[in-house]
Amino acid sequence: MSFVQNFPFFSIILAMFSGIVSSVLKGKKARVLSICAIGVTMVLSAAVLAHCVVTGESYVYWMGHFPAPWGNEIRAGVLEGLTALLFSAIMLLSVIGGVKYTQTDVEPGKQNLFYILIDLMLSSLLALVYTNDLFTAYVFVEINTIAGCGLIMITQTGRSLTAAIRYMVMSSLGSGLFLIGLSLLYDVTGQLLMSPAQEAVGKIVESGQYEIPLLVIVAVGSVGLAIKSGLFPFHYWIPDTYGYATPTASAILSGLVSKGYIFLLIKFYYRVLSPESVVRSHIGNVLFLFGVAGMMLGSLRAIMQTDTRKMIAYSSVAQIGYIYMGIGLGTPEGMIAAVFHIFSHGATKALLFLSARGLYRVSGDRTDFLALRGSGYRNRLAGVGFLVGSLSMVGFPMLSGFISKLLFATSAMASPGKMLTTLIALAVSTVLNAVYFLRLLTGLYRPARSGAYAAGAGPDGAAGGRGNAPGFRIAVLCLIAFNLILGLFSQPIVRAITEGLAMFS
Amino acid sequence: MGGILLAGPVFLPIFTGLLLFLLQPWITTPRRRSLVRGALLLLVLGNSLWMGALIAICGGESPPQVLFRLYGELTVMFRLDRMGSVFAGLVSFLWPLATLYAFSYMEKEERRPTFFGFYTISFGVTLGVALAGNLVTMYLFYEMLTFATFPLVMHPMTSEAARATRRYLYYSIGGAAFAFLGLIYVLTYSATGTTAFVPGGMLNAAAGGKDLTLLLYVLAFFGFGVKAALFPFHGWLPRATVAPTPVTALLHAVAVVKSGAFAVLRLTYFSFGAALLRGTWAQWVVMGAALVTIVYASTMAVREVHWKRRLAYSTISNLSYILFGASLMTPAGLAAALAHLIVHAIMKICAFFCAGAVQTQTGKIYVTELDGLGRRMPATFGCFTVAALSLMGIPPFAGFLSKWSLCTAALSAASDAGGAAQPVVGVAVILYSALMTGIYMLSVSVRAFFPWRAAALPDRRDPDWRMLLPLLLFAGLLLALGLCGQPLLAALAEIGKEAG
Amino acid sequence: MFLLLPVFFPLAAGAAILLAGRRMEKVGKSRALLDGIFLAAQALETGFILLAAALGGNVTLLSLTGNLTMGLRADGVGRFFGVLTAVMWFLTAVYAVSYLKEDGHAARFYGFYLMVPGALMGLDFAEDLLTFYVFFELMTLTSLPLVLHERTKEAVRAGLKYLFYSVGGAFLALFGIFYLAQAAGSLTFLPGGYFTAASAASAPLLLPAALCMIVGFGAKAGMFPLHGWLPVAHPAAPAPASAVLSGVITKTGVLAILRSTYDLIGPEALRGTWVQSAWLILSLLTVFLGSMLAYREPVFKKRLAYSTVSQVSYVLFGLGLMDPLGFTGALAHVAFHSVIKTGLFLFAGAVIHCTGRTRAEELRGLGRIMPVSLGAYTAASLALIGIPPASGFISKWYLAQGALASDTGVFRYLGPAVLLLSALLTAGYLLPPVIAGYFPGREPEEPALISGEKPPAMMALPILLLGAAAVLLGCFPGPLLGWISRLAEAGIVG
Repeated sequence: MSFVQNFPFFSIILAMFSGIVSSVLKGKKARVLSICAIGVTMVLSAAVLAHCVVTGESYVYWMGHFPAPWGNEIRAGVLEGLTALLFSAIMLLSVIGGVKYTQTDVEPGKQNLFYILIDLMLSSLLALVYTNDLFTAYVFVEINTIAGCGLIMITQTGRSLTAAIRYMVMSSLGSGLFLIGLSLLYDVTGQLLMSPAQEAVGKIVESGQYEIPLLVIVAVGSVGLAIKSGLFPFHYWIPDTYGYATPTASAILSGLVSKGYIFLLIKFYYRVLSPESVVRSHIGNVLFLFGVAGMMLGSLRAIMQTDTRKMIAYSSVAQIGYIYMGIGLGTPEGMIAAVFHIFSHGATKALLFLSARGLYRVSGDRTDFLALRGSGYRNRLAGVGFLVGSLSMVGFPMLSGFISKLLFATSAMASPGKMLTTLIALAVSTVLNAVYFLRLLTGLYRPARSGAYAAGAGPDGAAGGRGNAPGFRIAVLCLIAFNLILGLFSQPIVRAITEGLAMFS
Repeated sequence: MGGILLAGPVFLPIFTGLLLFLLQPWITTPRRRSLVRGALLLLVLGNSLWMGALIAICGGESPPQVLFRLYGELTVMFRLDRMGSVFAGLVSFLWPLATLYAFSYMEKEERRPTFFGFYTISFGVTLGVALAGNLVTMYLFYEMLTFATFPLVMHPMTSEAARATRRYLYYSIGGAAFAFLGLIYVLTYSATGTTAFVPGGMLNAAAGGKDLTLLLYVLAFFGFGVKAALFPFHGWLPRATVAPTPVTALLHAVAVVKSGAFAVLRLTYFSFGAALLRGTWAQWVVMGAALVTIVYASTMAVREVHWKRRLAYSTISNLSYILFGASLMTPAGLAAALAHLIVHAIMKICAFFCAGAVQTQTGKIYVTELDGLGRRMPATFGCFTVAALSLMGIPPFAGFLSKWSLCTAALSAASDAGGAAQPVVGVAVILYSALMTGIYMLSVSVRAFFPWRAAALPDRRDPDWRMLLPLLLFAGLLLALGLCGQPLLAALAEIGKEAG
Repeated sequence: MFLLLPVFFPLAAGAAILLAGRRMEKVGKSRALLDGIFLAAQALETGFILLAAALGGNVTLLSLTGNLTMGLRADGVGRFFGVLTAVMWFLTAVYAVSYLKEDGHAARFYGFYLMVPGALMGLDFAEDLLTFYVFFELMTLTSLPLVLHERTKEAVRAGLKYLFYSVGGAFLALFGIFYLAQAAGSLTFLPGGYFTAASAASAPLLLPAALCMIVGFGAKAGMFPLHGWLPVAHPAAPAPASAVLSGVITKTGVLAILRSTYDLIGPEALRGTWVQSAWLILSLLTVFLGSMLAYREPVFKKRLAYSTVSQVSYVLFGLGLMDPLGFTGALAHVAFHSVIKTGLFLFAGAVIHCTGRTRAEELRGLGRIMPVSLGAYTAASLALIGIPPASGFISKWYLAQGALASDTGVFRYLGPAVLLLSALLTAGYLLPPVIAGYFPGREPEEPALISGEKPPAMMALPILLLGAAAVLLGCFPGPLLGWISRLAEAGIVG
């Protein structure tokens, strides 16, 4: 067993410990520690990915070397490594980019708390990605929920409090349903580790017993995770949650957290049940339907917003819809597209939330369309960031969104029954995306009404792009580059996803 | 020949435009301004010559040049073929003249470097559409064209301009979204495994199911047709006339809208294949849409009193002439569509430039305000009248040639299809539209030259040479083409034969 | 090559006058020079036309598209129309110089007036329908400024109406041209046409295309249903322009229909079809409608315009019969009506010029001011009504004979009946000014007698000549009829 194989475990523990250590540190040190931890995690994940790609197979790792069923199992493959790498990279950029805003938005005494929550969030996400044990997964789902609530609440405005409560209620409902699913599964199979559970499920299916309980397990598990990831029609918590948090928190919540649950769902399908039985249960069709509905209604709601924060948040609803549509296609290609979109949307949304915040800064911290007029001139970097993010969302070629769209469309061609619906949905959704993103975009580059702001200077006296913090610049530039890389050199990533999914089963 | 030679005319203007943005703070004195202006004109002209040389050297045929790979079989590839040469040559011919005109037109406007930056970028992107060797590359540049040109529409920065821009963006992106479906379909069922254009189409006809193929063709046709202002997706074009006239004239009468029509031609004759579509319901659907557009737009043009908007409606109807030619699905149809693509470009840019010249010289923008101006600006209105006559299809001007080709192509298509009535209806529609063209164009000329309201005429003259030179050149060209258009038509017929 | 001269010389001369004449139209002496140049150019043009008609010839202009060449050739019908045009145009030009003495924009009128015969010669001598069409459009465009000349609101409206009807009609006809180019494979005129009754059956759209051409070109000839422009446009122009518009230009519509039916489609293919019936119905309807409207019209020039509507459709009726006698009658009526109507309009112009009166009932006592001109008017009127031995009688006689000789069913009797009825109406609308002019009566409640100066000689002379010709051509119709019946033989038999 090579040393690299320890890395998944190390990264989870590292993130957790830095969270614990941060509780006794001042805000600034906590921040440095947190950033370092995420950076190290990123490196470790890259190593894991490289290892898996080189060896060409996945491996199972016993935490503390206790064998199942007592120990905690971790499993690492290409897909896990890739996901962990990209998640930590996006998280790193979100944290770096939002440093300055975290300082202003979060009360000084609570700075370290913010970073504790970030660390916890990271460790729980990594655990969700790596775990091979359903119960561990459940535990980290709850940790994730708590960290998420904390991140929302930390700005301590009235709206963020209600948003956090709403999030809490919906999340608990989701985790509750997921837990019920787990209990039933345990009841039927007597297993909680994924690999044995899969064997047991296979046997049950063969024997033809427990058809209804199995269906209930699939349904309850899927709905639980769907609620947590904000699939339409369970999306009501999303707009406030994403809209009123700090940019870092918004980027992480919308870009990563909801994706963590989706990743878990995919794992649940592939590792516990089998893709075939999922297809047979028709839950895929349900997810497909709701995914398509989410794409449409999310975008329609986004069009109706005049507040950019809410608009971007509703756009997330639509994008989650894309992912579920891909899963719902029930084909390997659809799944690949869905996973790719997890990354693509994560990167794009982080970019959008960050650059939007950069634009608010030069518009008197107001977020409505009118106030943002001409802000593209006042903060050029943020403007360009928002431009790239929007174009990616609209599916402009050479950006990541285009590849997602392409993958969805080509995968649709392989599933005749849903082909036309998918294609039309994609096209219509592109139009809707264009409507709200480009409406804002044209506003950004229209001069503000005379006298609103001095030319090239924000109300805080910062002129042009000069007021941007270095972290913000780095983060936005990296995210733009990230989008371009995903758009131009997507083939290796797609190949990795394909391999990783193959390793799942 | 190296790939860089082929890609050069596409990327040189794009980089020039970007450079212009960077130079913006430096251009402060009139001296520097004229320096930059001269350099820009030289570059644009040089680029056109480069393009022209390419066409001349490879005789309209070059081996494919792959630049890079987007994903899988999706490569960005340039290839100069004869149909591409037609469009590229047309655009390269018009652009330097339009730039010259724009220098004069934009004299008093603000944000000129931004304007000329995007204006030049659009040149490269349009050439990209023309040179694209496969559907993906064309789609890529088609999308880029939207984003390179919307700042030009927004240039006046009024709320009207912003609304027009938004509408333009929504329509264009929406169109591209549906065109994308066609792209995916072609990619999936291509017989060659790639989307590279093949004369006569490369779709594996048996693979996808007949009705599905046709449905996706129709969707993609309408998708690309949005840029060609196909009814009911034409609404952006009349509104986009808020842009400065060089934009309306070159982009919204030639480059952008013709890219849409050109894309439709590529889609029909080089991807799906005309043989596959001939005589199917899909053909009648797209033909019907084109005909409805012609009737609707030429009627609307008569009702419109805003001069540039009237011309924009006229553009809509004329673009659908091209689409009608495309929808005939015969070699002659393709040749006629290309003929009208060329001829309409020249006459419409001429007409728009006249409107722009009048607007800069007198500030008049409504048709009803033009009484008697013809006697003050005889050259301008003379050129406008030539363009009007050509647009109506009055011989010996060039417009007659293309209309003639279209109608004979339609009638022979009708007799080939066993007496199908649709193409014959098309001929009738074109003639109706020609009458409407006469009404909405010549009423302007008559008003200008024979005013019955003896209003005091403003003391205005014809514009300076930079505006006048393109005008006279275009008007002369219309006559010359009309008289000796024979070789051109023969060349186009060759293209048609190859691809039909 | 000589054929090019009558076509392009006037176009060049007209353009030159347009460019250079503006400075000459105001001042006294140079104005005389301008008039002189105009008349000289017009005389030269007339000479060229007559010479070209005498010499004939054949010249290819250019090839427009692959299988379509454009060329000129002076054939019998072309020469006939050419000579007619040359004479009318010259007489009216003489009149125009006098009529426009006070006009400040004479150069513009002269310029365009000179250009029109160029276009007319182009279409008279056209070798093929495409050339014909080119010059047909050119004629519309060059004659448009003549209508617009007065630049009143009314004139501009009338001009636009003229333009749109003409262009619309031409485009309707263009459909037929497109179709014929396709179906016949050539557009070069061929006496007897390209289709026989048998081969027409294999071209399904031939008959609709033919109808399109008849109706479309019929717009120029003022045929129902596209006649609406004529009563508006002709009166709006200055009198010399009205005269040639009515007397000559309407005949180009006739020529167009003649060319496309007799020389392209072929009378064989049309005889006995529903298209022929439609054609006859439309022309008879127009004959009756025009006369009726003329009868009710009080404004003198408008009345004459309605009369034109009616009379030109006599010609179309004759052509529609597809019968040698009818054809002869039609062409004879072309010549006679051209002479008569030009004379009538010139007279109406003279009345306006000398007295300022425009309405027919205001002309009481005119005989005292211009007895000679009124005499010429009377002669022309009688000729138009068709009183023997004046000219109109001859043509109507042939038309009626043709109708009876043809096998067109009910039209054999209906045609002559309508012609007779129309002749009565013609008498009704043309003669009252004569009666009131010579015999004003003495009733006190009548409007005051007309007053004014005598028309100048250059005005009176063309009127007189035309009036005399209207009668004399009827008395000695031999040579003319001989020429026409040869044309008819060639046209029908091929």
